[in-house]
Amino acid sequence: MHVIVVGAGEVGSYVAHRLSREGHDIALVDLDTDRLLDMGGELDVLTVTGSGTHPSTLELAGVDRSELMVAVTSDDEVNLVASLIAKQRGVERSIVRIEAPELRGKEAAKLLKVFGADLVIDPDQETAHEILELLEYPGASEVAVMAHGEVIVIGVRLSEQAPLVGRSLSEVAAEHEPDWEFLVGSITRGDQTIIPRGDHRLLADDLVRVVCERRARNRVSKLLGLSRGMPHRVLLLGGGRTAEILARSLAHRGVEVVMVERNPARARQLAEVLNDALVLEGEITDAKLLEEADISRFDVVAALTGEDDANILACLYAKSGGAGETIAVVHRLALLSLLGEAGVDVVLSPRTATANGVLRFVRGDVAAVATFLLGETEVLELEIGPESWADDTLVSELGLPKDVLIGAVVRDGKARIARGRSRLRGRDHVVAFAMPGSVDEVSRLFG
Amino acid sequence: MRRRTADREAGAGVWPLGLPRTGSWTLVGLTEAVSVLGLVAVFSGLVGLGDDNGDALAFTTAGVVLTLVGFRGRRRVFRPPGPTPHSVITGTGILWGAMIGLVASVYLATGTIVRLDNAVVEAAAGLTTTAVTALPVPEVSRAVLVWRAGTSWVGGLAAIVVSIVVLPQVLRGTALPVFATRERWLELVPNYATGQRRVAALYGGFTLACILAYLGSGLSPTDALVHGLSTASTGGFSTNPDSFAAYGTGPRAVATGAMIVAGAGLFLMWGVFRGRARCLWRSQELRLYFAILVGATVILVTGGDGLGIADALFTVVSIASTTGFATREWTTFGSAAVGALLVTAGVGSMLSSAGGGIRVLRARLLMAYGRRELRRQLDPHAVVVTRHDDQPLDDRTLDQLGGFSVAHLTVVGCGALLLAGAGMSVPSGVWSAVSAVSTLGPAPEAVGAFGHLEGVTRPARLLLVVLMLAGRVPILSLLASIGFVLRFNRSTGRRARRLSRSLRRMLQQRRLDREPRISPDG
Repeated sequence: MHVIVVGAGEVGSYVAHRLSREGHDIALVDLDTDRLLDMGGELDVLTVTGSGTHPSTLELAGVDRSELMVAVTSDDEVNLVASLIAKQRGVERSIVRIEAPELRGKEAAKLLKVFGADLVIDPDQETAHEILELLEYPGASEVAVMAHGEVIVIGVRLSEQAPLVGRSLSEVAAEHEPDWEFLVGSITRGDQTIIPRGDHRLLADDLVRVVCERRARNRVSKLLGLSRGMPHRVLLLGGGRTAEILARSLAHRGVEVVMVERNPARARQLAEVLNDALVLEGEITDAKLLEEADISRFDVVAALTGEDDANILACLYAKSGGAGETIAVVHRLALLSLLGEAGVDVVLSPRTATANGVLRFVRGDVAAVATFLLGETEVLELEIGPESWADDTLVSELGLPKDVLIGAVVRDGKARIARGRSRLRGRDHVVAFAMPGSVDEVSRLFG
Repeated sequence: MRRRTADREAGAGVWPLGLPRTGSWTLVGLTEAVSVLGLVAVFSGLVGLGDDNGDALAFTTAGVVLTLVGFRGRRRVFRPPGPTPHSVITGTGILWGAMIGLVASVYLATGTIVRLDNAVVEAAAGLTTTAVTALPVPEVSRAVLVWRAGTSWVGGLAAIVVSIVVLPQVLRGTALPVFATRERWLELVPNYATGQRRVAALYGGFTLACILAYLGSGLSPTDALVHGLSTASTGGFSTNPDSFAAYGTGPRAVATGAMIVAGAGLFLMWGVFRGRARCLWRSQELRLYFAILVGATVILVTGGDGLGIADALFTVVSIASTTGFATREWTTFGSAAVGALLVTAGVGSMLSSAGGGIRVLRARLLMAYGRRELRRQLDPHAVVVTRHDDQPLDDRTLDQLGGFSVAHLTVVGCGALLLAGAGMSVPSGVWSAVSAVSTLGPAPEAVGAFGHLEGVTRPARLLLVVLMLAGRVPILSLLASIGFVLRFNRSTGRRARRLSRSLRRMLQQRRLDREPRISPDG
């Protein structure tokens, strides 16, 4: 499929990367020539310099043979116009990034239809949503909610004290017979990610992704060495849109929220719109300010500015100052592997949350997709089609590739952890762990 | 015809003396006030017929003269386009001073009062809706009673029009004073003309309702009329020297209810009129107003002075709305009760009322202002936003509020000191200053709960006039009008010098023109 991606920023380049790796033909459009040169060197994509609002630029990008337009610049108007031109030139589907709240919701639906936007994405909101999910599982590095909340995938780096450490998966499974409430779906050790089998032994510092039923999430959290429940006090460093959305949601849940923003006008604006949050004006790396805010009393400190250095530095200071969990949003992932060791508990990027939405849309037959910053595993939620040969078949008889694992089956809204003896039915939802190379095969299997 | 009207509005018409018509908001306000006062005087005279015909005739005559002068004068002035904040602020102060002079002149001209200082005090008390009097109430005629209440009614109307129609319209976009939510204000006052009409209708309708309710409670028509005018305007004038102590529970209950509404102000009336009474409960100002009423009533009832709930509520409402009616000599109550009443008097009524005081809204915002500053001290980095009715207020509004409050407290403090120097005790001076600036009137010791000024020295009376004026006229207007008078002399001198220079130049030019010119060819 030929795909045009307008905007080679963090989100656009990541989407281009993911789609090109799946074999799609990508044209990346941006005004910044230097950035495109970098991208062209890194990715197997066609780069076109120019505005996404110019038909001539889009023609160069191959709009006439394109099937999908992904307009993800940080400018809503540019995205909408690019989508409009693409639709006029016969592009079937269009994904548009929209940040303005006025252009979202029911009122704006008609307008978006005029511009041909089939899917609206908002990286800030997706990131805020992702952090909210993480906050419900303090200590977890990743959380993905599938099947309308019936299945939860929790990624956690095992500490030495975690009950699972030092045991093989078959030993753990034997202990939880006859009804498993969770399943280890993937293990990331160092740079390598695997779909584990029964003889794999869990070690300290492994990043494990566990799929569990909703009703068992408390027990599983305990087993993974996590505490449960929303934090009481959260410090948000940075006052961007992500922080604002997050602060609003947290305050709504009764969490005490303190924000730090360096721009006086923006700080004032935040203080005006957020009734229940305290806004401090200052630099997030100002040690005196953080000290005055009494950083040790916060259960979670989340650094959400657009500057990676400041976010990381502030998290390190917060950790050394006695704060609970630290979450840093980072945009450059070169140092990702070092951050955990340095004291940043959770690292997030706006790109993953956004990419999940795009991938789900592109694949079409997938109900949900979760990708992660570390490791290449994907978690897919697929519906077994009525004509699928998986209908009325045991999981053990599916003949799945080695790098695919069925984690859970959801039937009539009720989730069960999948076993070899589980029999699948049409319209069941299946939550599967898969490496990127097997995604198509899995989709075909259940489609 | 249309052309002539347009010319008149544009000031193209001329006086009989050949002078052009004057475009001045101050003169427009003044001529309109003279007309209204004239009509009130005529009305007083007509009501007074059959009681003291001499007074009735005098007031009718004075009223006719004032009305004619007012109407004639109004035709000679027009509203210039786009009043400036400076002209309105200055004009307000001048207007109030002129009205006091005019009403005092009526008192003197009709022979009701013979001493100038007493006439000025009585006029100021009436127009500023302050319930103090230098008149021997039992001895005065019906016409005087109605005129006195009428002046307070006119003063109340003028105060409301100035404070919620004129000033916000003029200051719109620069420093809109906080009344309620901006939307609610715009709903009542979308523009000058409509706002003025609505305010007059609400105020007039409420006055009529008060008069009818008093009649229904058993008061005589004159008593109902005087008390109705005094209640709606929060003037507090009564036909009895003992105020409501002379009446039974029926009139007292009517007065209590009417004073609560009068103290709550026009936004409450407008909300009820528009069928949005439930929305009003969201108003933080209204809730605080009721909280003050309830809190002070509880203190009075439990204060050990043997006061029933009805009496306590009447007293509290009378003071909170700055009306000044009384059923008891409350100034001799225990210190807790008198202290609570002092705070109530200092806070005063809601902002859209004809009453006075620092106002409930400003008191609330002052508390918020204090909290903000305290928070800033404790946490210098905190961005603290003060809200009113869920809407954030900008720092400029709060700074203005701070400035106003400092000016208000300075006036009260200086007034208290000067009153103490003019023969009052310090507590009485403080109370009298607070009471006068809040346009309440009654105060312990010298003035008493019934507002008689017999025991007050002449200098103290004149000081009270200044304080009443400071409480009624926006302080900014008072200072600006003083500044205007001072500047007037300087600017008059400058204009005269400019005029003489122009004349000299003109004469010189004429001389040059008359001189024979020499042609180039000789």
